Parts: sequence; structure tokens; C-alpha cells
Amino acid sequence: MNYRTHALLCAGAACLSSGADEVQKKLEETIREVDLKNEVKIVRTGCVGSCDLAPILIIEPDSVFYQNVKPRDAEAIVREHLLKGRVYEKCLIRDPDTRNLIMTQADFSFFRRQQKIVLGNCGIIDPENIREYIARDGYQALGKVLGSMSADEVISELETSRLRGRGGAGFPVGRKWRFVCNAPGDKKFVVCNADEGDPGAFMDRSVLEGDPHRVLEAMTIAGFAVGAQRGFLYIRAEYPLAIRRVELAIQQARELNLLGENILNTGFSFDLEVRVGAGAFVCGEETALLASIQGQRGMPRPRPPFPAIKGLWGCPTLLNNVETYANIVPIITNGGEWFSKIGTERSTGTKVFALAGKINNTGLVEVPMGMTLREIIYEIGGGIPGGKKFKAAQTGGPSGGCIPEEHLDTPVEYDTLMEIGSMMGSGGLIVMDEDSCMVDVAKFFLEFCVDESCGKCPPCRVGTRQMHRILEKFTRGEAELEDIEKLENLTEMIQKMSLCGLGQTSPNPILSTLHHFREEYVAHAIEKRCPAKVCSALVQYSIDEEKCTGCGLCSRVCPVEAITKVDDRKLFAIEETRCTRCGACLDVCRVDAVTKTSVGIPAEEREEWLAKN
Amino acid sequence: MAGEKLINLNINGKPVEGKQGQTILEVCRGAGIEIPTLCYHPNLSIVGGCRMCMVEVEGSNKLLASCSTPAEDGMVILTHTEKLKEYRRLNLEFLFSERNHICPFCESSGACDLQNLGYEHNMESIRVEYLAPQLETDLSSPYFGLDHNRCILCTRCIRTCDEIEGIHTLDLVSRGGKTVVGVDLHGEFGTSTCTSCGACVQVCPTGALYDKMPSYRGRPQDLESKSTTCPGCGVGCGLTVQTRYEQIIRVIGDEACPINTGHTCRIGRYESISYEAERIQRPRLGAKSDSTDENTVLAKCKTLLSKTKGRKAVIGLTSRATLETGFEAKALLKALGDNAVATLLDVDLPPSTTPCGSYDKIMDADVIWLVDCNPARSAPVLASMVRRQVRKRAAKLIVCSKRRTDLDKYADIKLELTPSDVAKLMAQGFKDKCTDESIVLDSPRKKTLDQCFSGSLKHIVITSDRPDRHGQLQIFPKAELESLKDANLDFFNISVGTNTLGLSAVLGDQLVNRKDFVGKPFGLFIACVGDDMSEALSLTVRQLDAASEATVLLASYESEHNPIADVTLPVSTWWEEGPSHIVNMTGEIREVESILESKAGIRTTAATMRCLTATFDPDLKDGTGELPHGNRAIEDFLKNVWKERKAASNE
Amino acid sequence: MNKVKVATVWLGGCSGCHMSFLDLDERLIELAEKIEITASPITDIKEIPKVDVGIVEGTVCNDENLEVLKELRKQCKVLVALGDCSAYGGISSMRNWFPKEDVLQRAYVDTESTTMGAVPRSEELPTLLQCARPIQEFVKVDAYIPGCPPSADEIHFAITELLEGRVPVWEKGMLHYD
Repeated sequence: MNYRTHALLCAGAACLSSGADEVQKKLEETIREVDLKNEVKIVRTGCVGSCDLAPILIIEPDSVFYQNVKPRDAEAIVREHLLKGRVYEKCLIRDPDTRNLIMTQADFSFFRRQQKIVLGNCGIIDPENIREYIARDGYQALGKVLGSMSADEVISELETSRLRGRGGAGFPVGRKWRFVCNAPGDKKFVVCNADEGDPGAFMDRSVLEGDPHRVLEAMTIAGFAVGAQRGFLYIRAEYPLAIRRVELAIQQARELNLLGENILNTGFSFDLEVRVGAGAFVCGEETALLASIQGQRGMPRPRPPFPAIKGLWGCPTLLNNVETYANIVPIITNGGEWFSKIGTERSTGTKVFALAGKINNTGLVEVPMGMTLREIIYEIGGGIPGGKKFKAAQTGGPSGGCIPEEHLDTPVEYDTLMEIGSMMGSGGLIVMDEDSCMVDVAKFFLEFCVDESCGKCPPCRVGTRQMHRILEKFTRGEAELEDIEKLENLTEMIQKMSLCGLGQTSPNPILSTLHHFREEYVAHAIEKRCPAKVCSALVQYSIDEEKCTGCGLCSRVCPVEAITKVDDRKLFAIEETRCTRCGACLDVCRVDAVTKTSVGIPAEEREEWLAKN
Repeated sequence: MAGEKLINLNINGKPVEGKQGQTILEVCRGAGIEIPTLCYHPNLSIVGGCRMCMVEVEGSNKLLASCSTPAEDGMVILTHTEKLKEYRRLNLEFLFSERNHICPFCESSGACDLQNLGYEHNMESIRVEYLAPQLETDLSSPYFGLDHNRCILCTRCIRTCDEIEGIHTLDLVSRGGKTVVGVDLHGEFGTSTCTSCGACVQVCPTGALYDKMPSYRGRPQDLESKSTTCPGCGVGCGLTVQTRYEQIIRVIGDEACPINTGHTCRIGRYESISYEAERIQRPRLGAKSDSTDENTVLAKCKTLLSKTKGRKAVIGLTSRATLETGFEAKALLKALGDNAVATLLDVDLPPSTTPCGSYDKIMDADVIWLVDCNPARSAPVLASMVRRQVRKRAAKLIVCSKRRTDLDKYADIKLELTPSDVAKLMAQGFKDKCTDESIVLDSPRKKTLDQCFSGSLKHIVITSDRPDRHGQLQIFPKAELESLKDANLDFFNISVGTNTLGLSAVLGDQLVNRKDFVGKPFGLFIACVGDDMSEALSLTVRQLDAASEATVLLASYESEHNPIADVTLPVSTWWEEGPSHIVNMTGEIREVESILESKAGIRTTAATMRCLTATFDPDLKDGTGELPHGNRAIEDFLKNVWKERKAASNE
Repeated sequence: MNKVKVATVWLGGCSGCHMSFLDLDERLIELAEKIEITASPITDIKEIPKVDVGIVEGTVCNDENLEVLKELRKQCKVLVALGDCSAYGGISSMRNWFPKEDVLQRAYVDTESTTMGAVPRSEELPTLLQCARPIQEFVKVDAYIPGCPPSADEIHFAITELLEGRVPVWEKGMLHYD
């Protein structure tokens, strides 16, 4: 049946949790009512990317981009747009600067600078229908590989593409495949790491939810290239939708003989299974992940031997991350040469980032390697809200680092990020403005490592807690200058002595903030002051007599009764010894009479203060 | 496995030779370069967790764990740079700061790997904060305690439990700083699957796992260590016994003994010593209050013998009796006259008159048959070998018993068959390469069983001759199977006691089954109980005492289970017996050493028997004089016996 | 020659380390020519003057210990931790593995020798810290003399080294934690 219009309803996790299902119900209902059933087709797609605008509905072929669609908007869109051809303006977005309405995805700066290879099908096809994937040339690459290519040719194509692993470290993918291919052994495995655990990162989830067949096809190609017969997708249990869609995809692929025995009658057999992770961050580390697949406690082991030589059950095992696999099919289809021209010399292709934090447009973006952070943050992300000042961008998750303003024009590549003390990681990008205390930020990421340490080696298990204790001293105002040196000693040892990447990189947030924002540490230690006014032990709240109207709202919300009336002037004041610095008064004051300051110990008073303490 | 190919390395600027396949740590230790380790243990798998053994290897931008990194030809390695020493010290400080590693009130101070490394690294202070969590202490086991506050999470205990005892009671629980060694996940020792073998205590590098009985009774420097053989069962494990002030403080497995390489079981480690039992101090007639001197007692014995003249005399021996005791028993039999025989008090005879194959066969088996026996009770270390082999999926386990056994849960197949039916099943299996249709099994298990007979797999049959419900001794008809050509079969009979084989070799036909005397009156009964206080033994002693006219008891301990004999003579315990010998179930001669000095006025069982012999017939020579001199001679003597027996059984 | 001025304090500990110091016996006489002991439990002088060397026995168990420790740190040039308690926490830190309230209850109420006991609570009494902690967690320490207690020989070695202007280095064989 030929439809006049496709209504692409995003069914990614963010849209679903914002009520996409109800929107769909209403759409169907209204379409039935106005009798457009034979003209309009609703397609549930994977993630579109701009998750802060969920739920999202795109009407094709007009390419009109509706956001924040509520069921009642859905009805209106059907009646207005689909029936009468009039754009329903209420759900369009406005340009934050010009306040003009934006009609299509192409007009929206968030999408304009993106280049979608990995996410090429996300937001366009129905991930639960293999035929939609096939219609977009899906499984042609597999056909090409099995029909006309040798394992060596496949790997050569990858080597030409210079694709690097998207899991974080950026190891050349072709070289890894070659290792496994050359490793002696009849039994080999292909594993996909979908244990995406960095806080705020969800690229892998979106790929698995939005375009699962692309990963399955790539893994099958990998199986052929390295000589494996079986593969596993290790998906974290927190991704139930991804697990369901991947399992459905495996089933559909088996039905069409794209998986299983004698695939496409070529004599090649390969099958895939899903293994569900139990929620340990460390299982993203390759040896821990393999242990977990084998049913053991997910703990890393020393390498060598590397999984490429001794992986699952002692057999050579190819392990790549979801995004890496998602690049394979385009490379096979278009050639490694084509791919190597995208991005930069040392980092080819694109990279998907999860934009979050103090930024106007949050969500998932795919950009060619080499784009600068400034372009990503200001052009795609739309800059910092509220006219605040940019302070730092955190990349690489808990293993990464904070990049200050002076490096905003650094092109995003594996090596450049390393050089400025951060890393690509799996693609989390958190933007921080002037209200972020960098000591507090370092402490936050370290806390994550403290909680997620598997407990196997002392440098990570104990070292992270020791570093955390020192950072706490800073935020409590109890640290001294020599604690910085102490911290640096610990970080060096922990980097060198920890068993796995989680421990080795756990000091990174501290090191990068110490490097770029040392003055904040010094302020905490010497002046007992938190420049960003975040560390509660170092801030004071006061009420401006001029501004206070005496409404008493602050007094009522204060949980410790620290705010009382002054004299009989109907004004209020905060009793500092009682105040717990919860900030409730600041939040409720309607006339901005409550102010937060972090005065600290002025230099001239330091001697006296030291003598006292 | 270390091959023979030699490789050349440069370690700390000096050329060092190693073997292909060795790790850096092995090469270094072989060359006398000491690298500190905590989680490493030569008998256990490698985890590389403690990070103490990190070394610098030229060409690697990361430090490498020497315990897990294979040594390669041409490697240039630095093991003790200032940086490494500083990192290691900080690593130690992390461990010390993490939990309770305050030495003055720790039982293991002086025998602690962590403490030792602190000394080695001049760690005169801890530069980080003490974290001082308040963790649990598990004191539910009667034998040992687990104080999580003293644990460094090296997982040696976990690996020992898993890889040596083969039971996997222990594993890590929780993660990060909350990680602890869990007993059956969140349980406690007292009510767990733990076999109380104590191997975990033995490998614990700190004071986290400690034996209760020896606690605070002496630091290592106060203790004296000697090696001997375990009296517990026919396996014949080597033990290392630590003593102080002529008291046994602690028993551990002897690392140097090839049979058990340091492993032992609950019986060997904890139950073979009677800490509380009261020793028999002096010879006596009748009850305890009638203690008297030895001459009076020996005179009484002579009277008893003449009183019972002409009737059958029986010498009852515990299977713990040494070879020396066996020879003295032989002499004593001569003195007692033609009508005298000997019997074993704790084992039904004849269980197996020839030794079984070496234990290596178990660790090399493809199929293990457990026929009506429960080695976890009667030969625990052998059971641990079976579990190890089965749990690493190297062998299939087929348990054939109408009773429940402790190894049922590891069985691939459980068959409720009698020993003779098992033999029939196997005979048919080997002949037809598959099993009879009459064996009712679901198809996967039937398939597994059939697989066991396909190809030329190595089979081990572990049996035990024990009476069935009706008291009928069930003997596995192994001769039926031994004649099969294609079968690759070895037999282990675990009803063999500590020295059953040795005693049977010495006494030959004069050794008869204890059951022959129960309820059939006879003359003089000389019961050589020694320090064996097992119930099975004392039951037999009481039964034979009831059947005999007069009883002479040779025992070490007062026991309410023993009868009041006409004459009681004190004898030494196992720990005072040596130097003497026993023969274990594989026919190996094991030495029993003198761990404690014998008590004044108390002789060994052998010497006491010699007194009796001399009393009954002053013209007879010492029995021990017949004992071939030296292990080599004993071996020849035994070989001869087994050869004759084999020839006899083939006829 | 000017004598080196020394002050010693005794925090949460058993005084064993001071006893061990007295075990220097006749060497004390020789030492007395080089050092002058000012404030110390031995001299019973309580006010700590400016000194060259401050020696600390014992763990920081309560707020009074902490105050004394900080005072000594301020008054001395070189601070020495004497014994396991001050260096590692020692016996005093045995209580760290139990909640503070349980420890007080056990000590003042539940002990077999006590009837009608009560946990003393007075403003004049120092407050017990949550954990007993070694002194280096609060102040900078320049030298350590570990041991429970350190032997007179070890103390003699350390003092001799310090008088020579060296920080004592504890080789294996001399270092002990019990």
C-alpha cells in the first residue's frame, strides 16, 4: 500500500518515558476518526537524538519537526497538518536567539551540523521490523562479504578505513580483527560490549534500540572475518528495551536465515545470543565482561593474555563496542577509502556524543571527528543557558577529564583529547558553567569510581577511597596546601599500579581539574573559600536588609529554624551558627534578598586564624 | 607448563636464564630475586590482584604484574627501582589503612605476610587515613574464626576452597570497599557447605582466618615444627605438627609431601588430636582405681593366658597400628600359641589385599565411579581430588549407591545399584560400548553414560567394602572387570584404614575378619586400641570383650566406651609412636615421626607387646627384629607380598 | 654546648613507651649531657615550652589528646612518634572496630567488676573521638620509632640518629609492629 504521509514517532527510551505511547494512541484514534488510515502510516522509530524535546514526531515528506507532543497536540496535528496541510505551530521549536519558529530538522541548528553514519537509520526506520532495515540496504553488506569477499579483504577494508574502537581507548579496529583472525584455535567468539555505564552516556542504547540489525549484521561479518561461530551481546540489565529489541531482531534475522546455520546458503554458520549484565560498571572492562559472560564474578584479570588470544573459555575472542560495530556496515558498503576521508587523519569517521549538563540543547549528536568542542557546544548545543559563563566540558565519563575554556578550539580526536588531559571515552560530554566547583566535580566522579570499584586490587579499592577522603577535606575546608601534593602522590601510584582501566583512570578527573583549575583547590585549602559557592561548609547565606520585604517565606521553609525576625522591623536574618546551608531560603525568596557568598579567610586574617585553629 | 626451552632475560642489569612458559615471577624467584607477593600462591591459580609484584619491563609503558606475565626471551626487567619500592610501600599502606591491621592484638603477628612486607619496605608509618570499617567476625565454626576486619581480599582462601578442596564454599561478596569473603554468599561457616578442611586458614596471609585452638598459644618463633604422617585414614597425608612445651599446638598439611602437597582435611587438621581426653597413666587390673606396677600386671597377664590355655586367643589391632606393631603382633601370636589369630578392630577384612593405583590416576581420570562409598567421610582428601577433577569438568562422576553421599551433588549421574550390579553394568558397557536398556535413565543422562564407554577413556572406580542393611559385606567384584581387555580401569578401595595394607602384609593369613568372633566365645583378647577413640572401634572392642574370657587392653586414653578390662596397659599415642612406618592405600611406605616425647613409664604399643611376648615366652625374639631394615627393604618385602597375592588370585 | 631541649607527652597509651625510654638505664646519664627534658610525664612539668624535639607516646583518642598534640607540634621543631600507638594506632585503636557508644557501655557499665555503672558525662572530661587515630592524621610527623613498645636499644638508636641530625631509617630486623 502506498501512503501519502509517514508519521515518524520516536520510540526511544526518552520519548517513551515522556508519553510516546499515549501520543501514538491518540494519533491512531484521530487518524481513524478523520479517515486517513489509508494515507498516513505511523512508524515507531529509534531515537532521534534531541531527547530534551521528547516526545518527538516528524511528519514526512514535509520533514516537519514537532517536539514536546502531548496527546492533545497529536490530535491537533492530525486534524491540522495531516488533514488540512497546515503546520501546527504550537509544537514547533523556536530559535533561542531570533525566537523564530523552526520548521524542519534541517533548519534546526542541533541537527544542521551533524553527520549521521552510526545513527543513519535511527529515527527513520522501525527497529522492530527487519524489512524496514532491509529496505534501507540492510544486510547487503553481509551478502557482499559472504558472496564475494575473503576474510582478509574484509579486514583490509577496515584497515584502510582506519576506524578506531569507539569504546574509549581508540585501538585500531582492523588490527584487532587481524589479531583474532590470526590467533590459533578452531573455536572463536565475537562479543559486543553493550555494558554502557558512563553516567549520562546513552549512544549504545540508542543504536541498539533504534537500529539493532546494524549491529547484528556487523557481528556476523566479524564472525566471518575472524573465523568465529558464535557471538554474544553483553547488554546491561538497565536497558530492557534494548534487550527486547535485540532479541526480537535476532529472532527475525534467524527466520530469514541471516543468522544460524548456513547463512544465505553460503555455508557460513554463525549465531548470536544476548547476555544480560547485572549492573556493575566494571563489566564494561573487557576481561571482566568476559568473566561475566562465563557466569563468573565480573572482575578484571591482568593482561596479557589479551582476549584476542585467550578470551571466552580460553578461546580467541573479538570484543568491540556497539558504536564500533555500527560503523562496520557503512565501511563495507561504501569502502574503507570513503570512510577514511571523513573526520581527521588520525581519527577517522564520526563520533556520537551524549550532550548533557549546562547546555541549551541536550541529547545525542553525531559529528565528524575533528569538530571543535566550541562548535559542538555552541553551534549544536546552542550554548550555555541563562547567559552564564562556560567553565569546563567533561568528556570520557569517570575516566575522563575536564577541559577548560582555553582548549575549546581543540579538534575532538582521540589523541588531542588525551593531550589535554581528558579522553574520548565512550562519548559522554557534560558541560559545566561558572556555578560548578571543580573540586566538587572531581569528587563526584571519584565517588562513582569508589562505588564501582570491583574490589580486586588495593590501589583502586582503597586508593580511590583515600583520594576521596582528601577531596572531602578540601570541600569541608579542612585541607592544607600539602594535601595537594599528597593527592598527586596517590594519583600517580593509582594510575600505575591499578589492575584495570577503571582504577588506572580513576584519578583522571582529579588530575585534569588540578591541572586546569588548581587555583580552586588552593582557594579551598588556603582561603577556605569555594569560588563557585558550591561546597556547603564554605558558603554563608545572608539576607539583604534593603531587599527583604519581610514576607517570612524563608523563615517558614528553613528546616532548622535558623531564620528569625530582626528586632521589630519585620525583617529577617539568618543565624549563621544554626544554618545548615541547605539553600532552601535562597530558592524560595521572591525578591532575591537571600544571597550566597563564600568569603573565606582573607589573607590578612590568616595568621590569626591559623593561630586559633 | 614450563617447557625445556631456555630463554635469556636481563633482570636488574644481570643476565638471567629462565624456561619458556615460566612467568616473570617464577624466573626471578628461580634466580634468587625476591619479588614481594600477597595474592600469589604456588599451588593456586593466578589472579594478579594484590599488585605487590609489579615490575618494569622495557618496551611496556605500563607496569606489569610479574606473577601473571609470561617471561619472554630478551626481556629487560627492573624489579626494585625506587619508584617501584615507593609504589609498593604505598600499596601496603593502603592495605594497612583499609581495615584492622593493627599488629599488637593480632593472633597472626609474627606469621603474617602483610606484616613481613611492611618490615621489608621500611614502612614506619601509614601516610593515609585509617578507614576503620566495622565488619563482622564469623566465629560459628568450632575450628576456626574469620575476622573480616583483618582480611586483605587476596582471595587465596577462595581459590584454595575452590581449586584444592574443590568445594567452593567461599567467594567474594559485594564490591569496592564493601567487598568481603562470603561463606555460601551471605552465610556463616557453622551452617555452611564448608568441610572444615582448614585449607583456607593455612593459606591466609594475615590474621583474617585463624585456628581457634592454637590461638594465642605461641607465635611461630616459639613453636617447633616436625613432619609426620596423618593417622586419620588410608590416604596417608603428610602433616606438619607444631609443638610447644611438649604440647601439640597446631597441625597443618605438609607442603613437601607429594600426596597432599599441603592439603589436609578436618580429621587430619583438627580431629586427630585429643586435646581434652585424659591419658591412662599407669598399668592396672580392672577399674581405674586399681592402678599398680607393671610387673604385677604382666604376671596377671601370664595367669590369664594359662587360664585360657587351649582356647582361641585374639589380638585386636586398630588399623592405625604401625608396621612395627604388626611385627610385634606376629611375635606375640607365636607366644600365644597355635590357636591365636589377629583381627582389625575398625575395618572389615579382607577389604583389599593389594594396593590401589597412585592418586595421580584420579587427577587424570575421565570417568570416576563412586560405588557404594562416601569418601568425603572416610577419605576426605581423596574426595577433594575427585571434586577437583569433576568440578573443572575434566571427568564425569557417576555415583552408584543406594545411600546418599556427600558427592551426590557433583554427580553427572546417580544410580541406585548394588556393587555387583554396577560391575555388571560396567562389564556390559565396556563390551558393547553402550549401556543396557534396563538402566532406566532420561535420555540426556543415558547419552552421558553411553559416552563414558565410548573411546578409550580412563576410568577410576572408588569402592568401599561395607556391610549392607543386613550386615552382609558388599564386596565389589573387581576381578570381573580387571579381565576385560579394552577397559582402562583403576580401583581405589577406601575402606582401607590407616595401615590396613601394612598389617595385612605382615600378618597374612593370621589376620581374620572381626565379624568372625562376635558372639562366639573365645579365650584371651588382647585389644591394641592405642589412641584410636573412634566409635566403630570401641563398639568392636566391647563386642569382643563380651565374647572373650579375659581381656588385656592396650590404650592411651581413658574412655567410657572402652570395657573395663582384666588388665589395662598404657601405651603411647600416635604422636609418640615414632619413628615407625605405615603403608597407605596406594602401597606407599609412610614414615611416622616422634612428635612428642613419650611420657614416663609409657611405652609404644610395639614395645608393650614385646613385653607381653617376653612375659609369655621368654625365648622368643623381638618381632621388630623381623622388620626389613630401611625403606628400600620394606618396599621389597611388600612388593614380594603383593606379587604372591596377585599370583594366588589369578590361580 | 647547648643541650637539645626535649618535651614528651603521653596521649592515649599505656606509658609503656616512656617506661621503655627509662630502660635506657645508664645510657640516660650519658644522654642527660646532651639533652634536657622539659615538659614530660617523667618530670611532671605540664606547660610545654619551646623545644627542639617533641616526643609523643599514645594515640589521639579524645579532644584533650588532640589539643596537647597540636600544642606540642606548635612548640617543637622536630616531632617524633614514639611507639605503635602514636605511629599506627596500636592497642588503643582496638576500640575502632566497635561503635563508640558500645565501647563506653562495655567499659563503664557492662564490665563484670562494675555494679550500677554509668558512662561519665561531664563538661570537664575530654570527649572521646569516634575513632582512635595515629598522630600523623592530625599533624606533620618528622620521625617514627615503632614498636609496642620500642625497645630501649631502638629508642637509643633513634635518639642518637636524631642528635646527629638524621631521620632514623628502620631496616628489616629493627622494625617491628608488636
